[in-house]
Amino acid sequence: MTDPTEPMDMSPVNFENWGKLMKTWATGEDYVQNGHRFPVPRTLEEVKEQLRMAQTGVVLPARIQHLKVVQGRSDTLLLRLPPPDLVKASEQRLEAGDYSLPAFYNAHYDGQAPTPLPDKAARLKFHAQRIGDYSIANCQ
Amino acid sequence: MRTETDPRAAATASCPVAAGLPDGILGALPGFRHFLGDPPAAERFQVDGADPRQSAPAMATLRRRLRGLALLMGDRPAQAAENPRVPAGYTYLLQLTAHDLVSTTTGFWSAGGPHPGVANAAGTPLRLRTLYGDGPGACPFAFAPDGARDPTRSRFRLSAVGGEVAAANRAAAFRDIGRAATPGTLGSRRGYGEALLADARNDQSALLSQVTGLFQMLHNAILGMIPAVGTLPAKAAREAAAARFAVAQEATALVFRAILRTDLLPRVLHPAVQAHYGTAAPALLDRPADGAIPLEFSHGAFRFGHAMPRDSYRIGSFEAAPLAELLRLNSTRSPNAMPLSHAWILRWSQFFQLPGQAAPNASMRLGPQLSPMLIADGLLDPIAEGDPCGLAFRDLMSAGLAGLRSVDSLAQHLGRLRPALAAQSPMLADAALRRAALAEWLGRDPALSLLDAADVAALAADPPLPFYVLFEAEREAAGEGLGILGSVLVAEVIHGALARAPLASEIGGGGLAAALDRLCESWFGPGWRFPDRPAVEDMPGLIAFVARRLDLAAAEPAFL
Repeated sequence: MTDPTEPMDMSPVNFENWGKLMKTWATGEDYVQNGHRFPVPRTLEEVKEQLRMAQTGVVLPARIQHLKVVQGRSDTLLLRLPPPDLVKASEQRLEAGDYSLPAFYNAHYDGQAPTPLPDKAARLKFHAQRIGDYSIANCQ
Repeated sequence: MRTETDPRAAATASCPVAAGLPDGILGALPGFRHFLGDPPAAERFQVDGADPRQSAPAMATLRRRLRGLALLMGDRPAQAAENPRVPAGYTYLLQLTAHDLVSTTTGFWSAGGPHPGVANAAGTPLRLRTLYGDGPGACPFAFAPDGARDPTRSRFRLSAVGGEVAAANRAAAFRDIGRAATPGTLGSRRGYGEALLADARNDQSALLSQVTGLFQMLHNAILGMIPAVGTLPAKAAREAAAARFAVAQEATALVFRAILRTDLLPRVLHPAVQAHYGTAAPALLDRPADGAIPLEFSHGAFRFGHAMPRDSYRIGSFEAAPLAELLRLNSTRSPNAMPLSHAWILRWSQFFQLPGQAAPNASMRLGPQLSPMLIADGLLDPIAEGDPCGLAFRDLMSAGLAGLRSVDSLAQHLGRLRPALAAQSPMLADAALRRAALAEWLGRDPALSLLDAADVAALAADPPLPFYVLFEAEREAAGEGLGILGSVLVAEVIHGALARAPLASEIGGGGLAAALDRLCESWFGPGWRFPDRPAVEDMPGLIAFVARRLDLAAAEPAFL
């Protein structure tokens, strides 16, 4: 029985390699440059294989059973809405636990790890800000 | 997925080695040597019959193959097996030991050109130079002043957990290594973070730094048993202070060496090799004139510890603290999270088997696969564009650049010099069997590795030594310890160093207790003894001793 809200384990993720793979899929140019080929995947199996080939460390949780690829356009507002059950599940987690950011941000802030958020209200505020950011932002 | 064009061409095209940079290391490497002397060309690791250090095409081929091999080695599955024989704490004791044997300013993998000027500066192996450096005079930052008006430094400096301000009278709070901020160095108020250690490599993770801190606490505990300056029959206060430090230092080193002999090596060496070398005067194959370290050990066999880290650890209330996070918990990467907070202070029963306590975190079984956590951002970035990130590729490249003895050469020498030991390894005794087993493993995932049949055959015929040692451990020791070849290389160096260069107090034999007594007598005269002799020869004993002497049995955060 899989947990429909099982979070993705991001701890082993290499965000740089993951980002290069996304850029490769988005542009058709090979940003990974390690001898493998990375066409836009058509199946989840192809996604999993390419995640491994690009050394992303991303392991899809068992709950993910389908693939939908959407390419944005600069003249179109792409509202990528997060799954409602995951929004609720993360809100519940933030009742007690801190919001954890990927550690690579530290390197851009003089090696300083984020200060823990003081309370639930602050955590939910940051949660909303983050959803606002990644739901609408395009690559800069 | 393979490219439709030749993937090897694509991989080589982005490879700086193809343009001739960097070359392998051909010049002198002070402080290093080769096991059994300088090997002739035919006995060195080669690529299709060529020495990659002297041939740009061979180096390019090597790099392409090692990229594939590193991808295979970095792909350890989440369900990989634990090692019931070796609790996880020994992983980091091994790392501390490695730092006491080898110290170079530059990793071989990043050394440019045939004469990179790399040397092993460790010099005096297994005397805990990695802890003491050149002592309080040269490394004052690692030691705390003995008093407000006494500039002498005898004790290791420790930090209070979480930077607790009101910790001055709470000894149990001083559980992290010494740490400092350096205001202004980044143009900010706090600046860079620094570990106040003689060897800052020992702050690479929250696990290694705490094993380091444990030995610092041992020193401080021993020092606490030596009467204060002015109460000893030494001639002057300065001399007495120096004597206190010297005795505590040598006693700590004696305990460390006893733990290596009695606890660590028997856990990781093949039992037959441990039986052969674990004696007062082991019969060594390799008898160098100085303390130089064989490259086949430093850049081959002793890399086995890199396969031991778990993906996550039980620490305090954390059920699964990720390795990647622990590797970021140090003064360099997380200065504002230092000193370590309560949550990250190790409860030692979670890392070593202590009497009456639940089973600790186990290390992972040895095998040619490493934790995928090591590829996380910024920890071990690629050497060059297109290279894999992680530790495996760096280990493999360093070995490839150093001109190590080949596995085949080592097998033949061992078969001739130690036939009874070599015969216990089917893969050492039978080269065809070895090649077949290696080829089967190397060829198992060509979609990931991009290794073709010729690559697999070449690597199976002449495998990189750090890879082979792990492969041997998995195949011939069930991953619970090293195989014969790996064990011999490790035993020759560690048992060899312990036997060849005894501490002054070890001369005379009689074991640890006798050495401790001789140490006390030689400094403080006949009859003086430690009131609570630190005659501990294993990590559980060390932890119990420190807990008893520093009153940490019921400490908060928990110590035991």
